[in-house]
Amino acid sequence: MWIRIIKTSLALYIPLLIFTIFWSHLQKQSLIYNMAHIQQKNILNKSFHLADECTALTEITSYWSTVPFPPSFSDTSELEEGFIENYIKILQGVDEYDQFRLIDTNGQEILRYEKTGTNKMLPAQVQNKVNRPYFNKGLTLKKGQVYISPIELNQEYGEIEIPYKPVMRGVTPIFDNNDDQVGLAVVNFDLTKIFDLMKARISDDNFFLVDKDRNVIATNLSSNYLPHQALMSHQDSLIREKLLFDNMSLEKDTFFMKEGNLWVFQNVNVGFENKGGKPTFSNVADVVSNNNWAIIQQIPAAYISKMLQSIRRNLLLFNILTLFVILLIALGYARTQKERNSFIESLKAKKEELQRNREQLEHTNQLVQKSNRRLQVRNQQLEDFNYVVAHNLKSPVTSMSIIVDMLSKSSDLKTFNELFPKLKTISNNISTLTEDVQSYVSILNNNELEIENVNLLVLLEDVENDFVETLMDKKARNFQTIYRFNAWYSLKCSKFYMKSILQNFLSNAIKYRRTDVDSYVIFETAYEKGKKILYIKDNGLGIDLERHGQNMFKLYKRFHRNISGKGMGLFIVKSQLEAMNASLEVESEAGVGTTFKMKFN
Amino acid sequence: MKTPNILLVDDDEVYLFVTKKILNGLSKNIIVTSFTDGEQAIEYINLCLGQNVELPEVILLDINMPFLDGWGFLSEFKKVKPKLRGQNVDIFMVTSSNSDMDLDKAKEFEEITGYVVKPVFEDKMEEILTKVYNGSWKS
Repeated sequence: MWIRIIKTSLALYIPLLIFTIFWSHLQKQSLIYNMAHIQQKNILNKSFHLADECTALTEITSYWSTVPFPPSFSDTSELEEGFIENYIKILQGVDEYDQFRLIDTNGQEILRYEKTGTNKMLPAQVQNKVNRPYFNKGLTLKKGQVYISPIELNQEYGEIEIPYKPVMRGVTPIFDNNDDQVGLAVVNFDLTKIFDLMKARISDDNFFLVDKDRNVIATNLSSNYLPHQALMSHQDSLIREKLLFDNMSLEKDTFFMKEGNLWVFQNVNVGFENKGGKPTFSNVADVVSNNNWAIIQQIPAAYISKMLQSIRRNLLLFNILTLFVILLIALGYARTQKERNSFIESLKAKKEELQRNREQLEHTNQLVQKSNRRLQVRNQQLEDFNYVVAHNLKSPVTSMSIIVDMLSKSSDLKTFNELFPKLKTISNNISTLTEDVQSYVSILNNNELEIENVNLLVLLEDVENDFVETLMDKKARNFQTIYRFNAWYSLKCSKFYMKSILQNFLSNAIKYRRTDVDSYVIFETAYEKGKKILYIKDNGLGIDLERHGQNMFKLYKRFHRNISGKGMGLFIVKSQLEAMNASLEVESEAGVGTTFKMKFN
Repeated sequence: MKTPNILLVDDDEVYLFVTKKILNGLSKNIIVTSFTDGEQAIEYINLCLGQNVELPEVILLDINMPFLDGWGFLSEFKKVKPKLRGQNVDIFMVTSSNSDMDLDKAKEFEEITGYVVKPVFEDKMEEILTKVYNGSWKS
C-alpha cells in the first residue's frame, strides 16, 4: 500500500520537480539579467558625471588658448589683476574647480590660484612643474588643443598632498599676440565630490572606477583614492586582486557571474573618444586624452541570494502544496487500486471455488459412473442368477411334480419302483445345484473382499505346483507354461479369487489341450489405456464362438463332449473377476486356440 | 393311421424318462427317440437325412442344454432345412423357462410350432400330439 503511494507520488512529482528546477533557473537568469540591466543604467548615469566633468574641464581650459597674452608673459611675473580676476570670479562657483595655473615654457608657474577652505579661489605660492608629466605633455600641444590628464592624486612640491585629493587636469598652450607660445594654462578639477556621487548605492552594489590597467581610481569599498599611487592597504590589495578576475581580459561592455557575484563591466564614454569619426567635442576644442576608464559594478552573492530567496520560498511552498495534493491523489489512487485488486482477488477466489466445485462434481460424476457400471454388472449378475434359478432349479422341480402326479394316479408297485429312484436323482440334482448356486451367491454377496498386493508370478508358480502331478502325466508332458510378465507382475486384488481364477484357466488349458501338438499356455501382462491387462493364450482345442459365444461363461455349459466337466469353471471365473471390478473377454477359434483377456479397472 | 415318431431333446434324464413313460402311456404304437443335447440331436437329423431315414414329425426341444442348446440346435436345423424336401417337422420348445427373453427369442424362429412351459403332464402331451396329427395318432 505505502510503496504504491510512494511510487505514484514519485511518478507525478519528479516531472514537477524537474519543471521547478528549470523554472527556478529561468527565474534566476531573469533576475540576474534584470539586475545587470539596472546596473548598466546605473553605470551609464555615473559615467555621465565623469563625462560632465570632462566637458566642463575642456571648455574651461580651452578658453585660455584663445586669450592673447602679452609677449613679455614669461618675463613679467606681474600679470594684471584684472586679466585673471573676472575669470576667477565667474568660475569659483564651479564646485570642482580646484586650481588654476599659468606656467611658462620652462615649467615655472607664473600664476597660481587655489581653492581655499572658504570655497574661494585665491592666489598661492608658485612652484616649478618642469618634471610633471602633464607639463611635458602640454608642451607638445598645438594651438587650440586641450589635454585632459589621467586622474591622479594631487602633488605639491613634488609630494602627494595629504589628505589625498583625486584630481584631473586640463592643459592648453597659451600664446601672445604674435602667436608665439608663452606657456601653458592648467586647470585642476577636484573629483572628490563627483566620486562621492558615483559611490552612491542603489542597492547593495559595489562600485569601482578603474583605469585601463584596471587600477582602482575610486570605489565605495574603500575611502582611499588611487591607492596604487600612494599606499595600498590590505583591503586595497584584495580589491585590486578581485578586479583582475584571474587576468580575464575585459574590453567590451559585459556582465557575468563569478563565485555567486554579479559583475557588470562598462567602459566610460566621456564624449571625446576618437572612435573613427569626428570627436564629439570638435566644436569646443581639439581634445587630447589617453584616458580609458571603466566602471565595474558588483552585486554581491549575498544580495543575489537574498533576492532569490523569495523565489525559492515561493517555489518551495508551491512544491510542498503540490506534493501534498499529489500525496492525496496517490492515496486515492492506491485505495482504488487496492479495492480493484481485492475485487479481482475475490473474483479469482470465486473462480477457484467454482473450479473446485466443478472438479468435485466431475469426481462425483466419475464415482456415479463407476457405481453405475458396477450396478450394470450387478444387474447382469442378478439376471444370470435369475436364469440359473429359473432353468436349473425349475427343471428338476417340474420333473418332480410330474413324477409325484404320476405316482398319485398310479397304485401299482411297479410304477412306484420305477419312479421313486428318479425322485432321488432329482433330489441329488437339486442339492448339487443348491451347492453350486450357493458358491455363486457367495461371490455375488462378497462385498468385503480382502484386497492385497498379489505377486502374480509367485501366485502362478504356486498354482502350477498344484498341477505338478497332472503335468508329470505322460500325456501332459508336452505341455508348457510360459510367463511374460514384462509390463507388470503385481496386482491389487483378492488373492483367494485370483488363485481360483488362475487355477481354472490353467486347468482348462491343460484339459482342453490338443494332444497332437506341443501345447502351451502363455500368461502375459500388458497395459491398455493405463489399465492392467492379463492375457491367457493357449493353442488348445478352441471353441466355435459363433456357435457357443453367448453361452461361453454361463453355468452348466459345456462344449467338449469327451472331456469331463461340470460347466461351472468359467462361470465362476467371470463372477469372481466381476466381483474384483475386472472384465473378461474371449477370442477363440476351434482347433487353433483360445485367448482370454482380463482387464483390471 | 400313422405311427407317431417323436424326438425328445433334453439334458434332464428324469424328464426324458418321465416323458417317454407318458408317451408310451398315451399310445402303444409310438416311436420315441431322445438325446441329452442339441449337438447329438442335430447329428441324428443329419444322419437320418443322409440315410434317407424318415425324420421324426415332432421335436420336443429344451433350451438350456450343454454342448449345443436349443437355440443352437435351431440355428443348425435352419441350415439343413432345405434338405427336408417338404417334410414337415413340428418343433415345440419345451422348457422350464417362462422368461420373456426366451419367449421373444422363440418368436424369431418360424420353425417353432409351439412354446410349452414345463411341467408337461399327460393331458398337455395329448394336446400337443392331437394338434400335430389332427387326432389321427391314437392306435
